Formats: sequence, structure tokens, C-alpha cells
Amino acid sequence: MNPTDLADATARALNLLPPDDTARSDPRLLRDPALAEEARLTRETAAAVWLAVSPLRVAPPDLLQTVMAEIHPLAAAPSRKPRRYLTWLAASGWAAAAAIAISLWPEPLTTPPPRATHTTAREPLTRPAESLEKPSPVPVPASRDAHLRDQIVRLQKRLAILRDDPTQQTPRVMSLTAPGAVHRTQEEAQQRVHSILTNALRSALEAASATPSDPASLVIERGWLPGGLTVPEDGGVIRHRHFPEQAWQELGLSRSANGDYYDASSSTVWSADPEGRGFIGRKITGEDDVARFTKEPEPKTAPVKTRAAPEGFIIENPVDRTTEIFVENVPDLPEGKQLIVRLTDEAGLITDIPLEPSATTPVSPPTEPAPVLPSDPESIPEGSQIAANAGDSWPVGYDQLLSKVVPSSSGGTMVNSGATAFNAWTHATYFLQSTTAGTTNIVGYASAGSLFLNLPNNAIPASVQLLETNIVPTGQPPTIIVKGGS
Amino acid sequence: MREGEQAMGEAAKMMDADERAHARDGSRLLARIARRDADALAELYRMWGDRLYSMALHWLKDEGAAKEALQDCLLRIWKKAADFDAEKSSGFTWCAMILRGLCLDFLRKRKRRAAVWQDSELGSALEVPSRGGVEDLFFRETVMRVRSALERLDEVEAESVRAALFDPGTMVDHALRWGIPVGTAKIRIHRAMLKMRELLRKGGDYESH
Repeated sequence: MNPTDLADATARALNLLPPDDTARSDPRLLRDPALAEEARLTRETAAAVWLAVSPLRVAPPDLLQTVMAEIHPLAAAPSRKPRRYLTWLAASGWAAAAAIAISLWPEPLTTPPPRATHTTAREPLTRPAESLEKPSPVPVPASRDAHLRDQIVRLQKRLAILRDDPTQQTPRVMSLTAPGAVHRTQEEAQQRVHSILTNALRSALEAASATPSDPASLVIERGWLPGGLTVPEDGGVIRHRHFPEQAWQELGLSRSANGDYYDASSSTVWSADPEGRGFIGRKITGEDDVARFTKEPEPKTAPVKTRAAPEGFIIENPVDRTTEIFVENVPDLPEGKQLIVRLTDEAGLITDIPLEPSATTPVSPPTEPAPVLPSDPESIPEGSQIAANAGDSWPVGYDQLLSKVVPSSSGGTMVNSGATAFNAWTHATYFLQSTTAGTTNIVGYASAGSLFLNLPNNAIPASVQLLETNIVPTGQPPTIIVKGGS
Repeated sequence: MREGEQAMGEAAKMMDADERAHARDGSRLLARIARRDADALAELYRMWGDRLYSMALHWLKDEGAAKEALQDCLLRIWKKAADFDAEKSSGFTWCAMILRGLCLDFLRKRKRRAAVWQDSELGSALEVPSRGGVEDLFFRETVMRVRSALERLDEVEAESVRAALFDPGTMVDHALRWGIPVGTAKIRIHRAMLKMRELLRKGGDYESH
């Protein structure tokens, strides 16, 4: 180690460098582990000396009161204005990311040209996940779509609230776990929610096709390529973050022994992204051996899909006393079974909310708007509430309305999943519904193995269970999928 | 105020070894403060307030300024506790560095404004004072080791440590006063601090605080 560097590290640690000294801004002093350690040891030594040589005095007794008087207004102040968290996850999390991807759907032919070749797509992205974990504001893509831009900004704000705004009354996050599973601590649950939101933000950014390091000219979140959309001819690539591998035969694809897929209708080869960010699609070239793809299933080599244990989180917002519940990896329902969300309040009162399966399982992507909905999604005013029947499928255009449909103050509101439009390949879609004055309101949805439930004001439950029960009562106790709370 | 009056608190005497170790570290307290626990800040003040105030007074030699510096320091701790990284420093050192920065700012402003800057204002003497029989349960070990280490520094080293830790001047000021290049002054202070560190470390089972 250069003695000059060590001397600079010492001087910097003790705040001895003059303003014009270049060492003040030398990043090596912070990044080099040896120099950082030198600074740390210097500070510890200095503190020991300061402590020892200072004649001991009693601190002024009124000082603490003065400080407390200053900080208590900060601590007790309401966190800005009360926020409605009802839309936090549903409209700003995964759903937003998905909606953003869909909203870009018609645009690939006019989106920016490919920025790199298939080869560079396999190179590690230069923006690691850590940079999102501790952001510095993530640059918002200069999208032409103001709606998209608004969604990304909203996600960033949600992340900021969870991450580094200690004056906020941040939501309390509790874990929902399967029986016998290891229970997450509250801190772990909070981190997990943060991680999920971070991923959603990354999805949103990638979906905007403006992520500088992502060479894909288009990012598909879910679903399949609509007719007319083709992969760039000039070596460009597109990314599919949730490639529907399970449905490869239904989609008319061929598969190779190494797990690549070939779509003959669009002359596209799909390969798993080594970075684990879905699949990369590219135009087939003369160097590709089409013969390696076959339409025959290979039972012996087919990967055995394992489903992770169900897990969920309860997010209580102490400001407006709303609660959001979401569960991942909800198992598929056997015939004759149904899912029930069981809420128990502090007094022990139990409320069961059944999940009503959609009309068909699996359903096909809807082609016609449901009759109860306006034909023009854009005609729905901001903040409006939409009544729907269980099993209704949302037209594709409604996926773009996630941010427009916000709950009313009276609760019992709906969240538009739009899920059947792009998750219908292998999973059923369920709706959680409540009925008020003869109107069926959707209060959540479960799709693609995920469940979302929003509870209105003053409905914070003491405990939550997701149960699997028989549709026709048989006297058998329900099976607990996840449970949590007090 | 009488020196040593009621310092250290009765609570300290009742703490067991684990609690004292925790008190020196302070990371759990700072974690609570980061979660906006005002009780934790009050606890930190009861635990370290006397020491921090003593340090500020030793640097500033002005009770009003020391009180103001400590107040600002506590408010900054309240606001910045989430930035504390236990891997980069102990809790007490982190707080001490905040206080030191505030006091340095005060001293450097005063020096810029002063028509005449006396050598007597350059900083405090480098000696461990008598504690007057007051028991320092948290930091007694540290005080003993620092006293021992200071006795083993030669004159140049002691002056270098004193200048680095108690003079409000920058490295340029020190170099000018010693009549040597800035680079040489940096090396001199680094070596003196390194020796001080080694002497503290060799003191047996020395702990940071």
C-alpha cells in the first residue's frame, strides 16, 4: 500500500484536508478496502484519545428536553398527508409492471431501434440489482407515454418510502407462511416486500425499453406476441420476462434438447437469458440448425417444475388503517375445492371471503369486451368504481387503466387485474368479491399463483388465513395454505 | 458546574459486562433511533451525553458553544441514524465524529473571523486528566490505555497527535507551522496516529472503547 495513500486516508478521516486537496474527492479512499480500514482505525483511535483526554463534565440537564421538544413534532407528525395504500401493490407493483408492458404492446414497430446484437444481450447488465436496492434516483426513461412515466415515478416513490424516509410511519409488514414453514421476521418480510417492489420497478424500466444497459428493443412482460409483431431483422433482440414455457406446444413452438424454442411463424429463436431475466428472442440466422428443434415432447428430459411453498405478506398502513394482503405461489386447486381468505379481527370475529373461479379453467384470452364494461376504457373517469361479476374477463384495453381505477372511500372496491388477458395460458383467474346492495365488487384477485386482497379503512385484521376447502361441505376441516398475524 | 459531578450515572454501575459492551458499541441503540424511537435517543444521551459534552467543551472551551454543538449533534444523530454502519465504526465513534465535525466548523469559522489568532487557541493539551475518583464503568479501560500510550510517544509524535486531534487548522496550517511540506506533514501525522493505534492495541485486551 502506498504510504501517501495511507497518509491521505488518515488525514481525510480526521477532516484535516484543506478544501483544495485532491484527496478530498479521491474515490479510492472510500472504495479501497485497505484505505477504508485505515480510516476506520484512525477514527477509532481518535475517538479513544478524545474521550480520554477530555475532563469529565456533566452535560446540561435541560439539553435533552430541548432536543426532545425539537424531535417530537417530527416524530409525531403525520407522514405528509394520509396515503391510500390500496393501490400500492396492485396498481404500483407487479400489476403496474405488467400493465406497462402491455401498454407498450402496440408500439414495438415504432419504439427505438435495437441498440445491440444478440451477443451483447448475453453480457452481464452493467446496472446491477444493488443499484436499485440503494438508489440514487433511478433515471426515468424519456417515454412518450406520460402514463407510463407516471407509473415508474410512483414505483420509485413507493420504494423511497420503504427505504429511506424514516420520518414516515411506514407500513407494518407481517409474514404469511405455510404451516411448518420458517416464519420470516418482520424485518425480513419488509425486505422481501422491498425486493418485490424493486423488481417491479426494474420490470417497469425494462418494459419502457429505455434501460440503457438492456439491448432488447422490446420487453414483454407476459403473454404471447400478437400478430404482426416481429423480432427485428437486423440482429436486434427482444426479451420475454415470463416466457410461457409450459404452453410451448399450444403456441405451436418447437423445442431443442438444450431448452431453446423456435417459433416458425415468426422465424424466432428463444433462448433462456443467462442472467435469469426471462428469454431472449432473435431472428433465426443461416448458422442455426433448425433440425435441432422438434415439436415432440421429451418426457425424460422435460424439466420437472417445482413450485415454491406458498408465502405471503400482510401490509398494514398505520396512517389510513388500510391493509393489503398478497400471497405468492398459491397452489392450483383440485377439483371440488375452493379458496377462502379468512380474516379474524381483534374480537375474534371471523370473516370468510371465498375466491370465485373464473368462468373457465384455463380461460382463453378475451377477444370481446365484457358486456358490463364500457367499450372504451378511456371513458372511465379517474377514481371511478367498476362493478363486475365474478368470472368476468377484462378486455385487454383495461390493463392500461390500473392507475385510473382507484378505490372509493367507502371500501369494498375493486382492483382490475386484467389478468386473464395475459396469464391465462396455464392458470385460472379468481376474483375475491364482496356484494353491497346487490352490486358485486371485486376486492382482489388471484391469478398465476398470486393473490391480492385489499381491505378498506379500519379493517386491519388480527390474523389472516388462506384456506382450501371443499365447495360442497363434507365436514372436513379446511387445509391451511398460509397463515399469519397474531 | 463542578468537574465530575454526578457523571457516569448510577445506571452504569448496575450494568453487567454484556450491557457495558453493548453500551460501548451502541449499534442497537442507533438502530432504534433510526426507527424513530425517541426513547432510544434519550437513552443514548444518558449513556454518552456526559462524554460527548466533555469532548465538545474540551475542544471549544466555551460552555454555551459546547452545549449548542451537543444539541446539534443529537439532532443530527436523530436524523442520520439510519446511515450508521456498524462495520465502519462503533456507535460512540460515529457520534464523536459528528460532534467533532460540528466543533471543527465552529472553530474554523471563529478562526477566520478572529483579527488575531493566538497560539494559545490552537488546541487543548494532550494529557489524560485526573478523574477525581469518578468511576467510568464504560470507558475506564480505554482511558487507562490512552494514558499509557501517550506516555510512550516522543515529543514530535505527541505534537503531531495533538495537532491532528485538537487543532482546528487543516494540514496546510500544520505544515506551515512545522515548516515542512504538506505531504511530509501528512506522513508525520499518519505515522504518529499509527503508533498511537499500535500502542493502544498492544495494551492487552484493548477494545475500541
